[in-house]
Amino acid sequence: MAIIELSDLKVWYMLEGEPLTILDIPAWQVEGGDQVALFGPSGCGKSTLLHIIAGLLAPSEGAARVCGRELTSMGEAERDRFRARHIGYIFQNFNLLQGYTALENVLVGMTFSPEAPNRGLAEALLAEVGLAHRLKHYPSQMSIGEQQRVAIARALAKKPELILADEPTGSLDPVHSSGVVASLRAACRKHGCSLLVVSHEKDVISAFDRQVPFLELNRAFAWKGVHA
Amino acid sequence: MSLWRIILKSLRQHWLSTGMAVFSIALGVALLVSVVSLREQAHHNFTQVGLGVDAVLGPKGSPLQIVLNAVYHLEEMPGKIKWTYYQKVLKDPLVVEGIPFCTGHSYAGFRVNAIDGRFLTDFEYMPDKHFSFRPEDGGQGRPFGAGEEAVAGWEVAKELGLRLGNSFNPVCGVKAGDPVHYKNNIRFVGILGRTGTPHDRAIYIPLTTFYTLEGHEAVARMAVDEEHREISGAYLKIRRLPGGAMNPGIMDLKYNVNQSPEAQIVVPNEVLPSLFSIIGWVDNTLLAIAMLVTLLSALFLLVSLLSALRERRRDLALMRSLGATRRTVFGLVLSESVVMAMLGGMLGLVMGHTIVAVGAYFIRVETGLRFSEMYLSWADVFLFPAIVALGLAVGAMPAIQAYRTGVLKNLVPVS
Repeated sequence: MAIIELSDLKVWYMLEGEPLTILDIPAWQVEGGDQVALFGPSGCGKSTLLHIIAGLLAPSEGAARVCGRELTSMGEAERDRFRARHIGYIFQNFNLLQGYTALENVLVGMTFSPEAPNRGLAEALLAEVGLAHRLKHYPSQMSIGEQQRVAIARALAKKPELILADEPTGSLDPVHSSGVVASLRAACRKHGCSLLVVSHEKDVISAFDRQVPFLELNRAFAWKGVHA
Repeated sequence: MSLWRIILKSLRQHWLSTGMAVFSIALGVALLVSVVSLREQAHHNFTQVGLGVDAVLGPKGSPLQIVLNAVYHLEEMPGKIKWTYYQKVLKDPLVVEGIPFCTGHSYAGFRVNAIDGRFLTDFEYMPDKHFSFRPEDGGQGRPFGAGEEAVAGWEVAKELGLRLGNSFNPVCGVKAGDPVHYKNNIRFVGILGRTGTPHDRAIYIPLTTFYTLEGHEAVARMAVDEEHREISGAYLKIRRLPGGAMNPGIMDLKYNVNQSPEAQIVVPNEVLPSLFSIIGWVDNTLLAIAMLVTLLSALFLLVSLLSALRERRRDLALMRSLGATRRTVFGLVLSESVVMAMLGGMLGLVMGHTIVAVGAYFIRVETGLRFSEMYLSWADVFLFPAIVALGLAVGAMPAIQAYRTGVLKNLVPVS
């Protein structure tokens, strides 16, 4: 069963009275349990697609069915609740609350989901990503790699069906980068989550069985003559 | 992690601005609570507590001056009235009892009032409350008899460290430098139990003793010659209606007496409000200052919230990305404002009542008026609803800004 189904999905903005299309995907889908790497150059609309799948952004046109729910028919608040229940999101940067410890960051990840925050689960998830000894440490006391592991634990904390990772290793060196990706993939497998990673780093992309070149997916860039 | 913990966490994160905003609200509330409390208690003391005096028969002159002198042991009497006229007023069927007195003497800053002995036994300083000499009430000794004996009010005895058997020489007047009656060693035979009224701050001697003090030779015969005797005034007890209401007939009595050139009848509860019309501007200015400080503290809270919000936009956007709705972040910011306002309110309440406690102590000591640190004013009653309303009103603007916080605008991942 498909966890992501897109059809005739378009996003455009008005620029000086003219529509500027930045996303145009005729059809695309990801099966449940899949781990997919979407790659392409910076600025080609990968993050915009992730925002739409996460319900952070409404498409201008078309259909986006995620986790069996049609996002285009939802209002903003409904999309927020959908995200709280079904989606785990990992950003490249700025992804932890600086005033909160690692454990608190994971607990905050559970706060907005329908399930009650579970301290035991949060501790177990942090232990799973190798941070059992860092529960009470603040982001500023951890390396970027460790912060990303906290973000992975937080994304998993609400038991989502789908995890979206936007350049999750963008701030890491190659050694830590492969470690974070391996942690992410292993955790998703263990918890039965689908995984969609967006990246422009070859090392990251090569770790995935299914690799999708975004420029082939997004027709908008072919029209505008933008290339990798 | 509950939303409540997120709110507390945020307040702790910005502890300095939170603390300053809370303290500024506390200052405003403390000022408001203390000013209103002291103001209301002053009104209550001067307008509602009759201090057992239905009316005062006094000389012609300022009615306010008569009340302040007769009831509060302040000021000076504007003159004297004839004993015969007092007797005439006593015969009016509306007058149940009269207690004559002569004022104008002092000792160590306290007034010495020469008064009829029934004052110490029959007079009700509050409804159904008589003076007590019982040790359990703080009293000692007995009422004065004839001759050079005196009874001290509770506060006088406390301040001067008086003991039974101590004696004093009264001063003929109430100002520094007035002559002292050196030949009259008046001995304390009693100390009144605490009443919490201005009567605690006076010394009482027999009325007849007053006329025979050294240097009063010109009036000495007044002690025995009622035809020529003069007094400063008299407390009058008026016959009440069934149920305890004041008899409207007092208006006729007052009119008749006030028509005469001899004296006037003054009802304290009618006269004292005029005191507040005189000092009303001070009163209102203090209240206005308190309200202004509270308003400024509300503005400080607003600035503090807006400044914290600027630092928190990324955190709020991140929470939105985790699934918090716009309403949730709106509620978080609004709740923070209410929590800060309530913390300030509670601290202000404690500070305000501390100020009232200190103020009440000094007012009691200086004037004998019944001021209580535990007095609940309208400011206390309406404090919490008002504080919640203040928190909601002040928090609305930052909460709306938080509501409008765009996730992607404030949390753009690098790609």
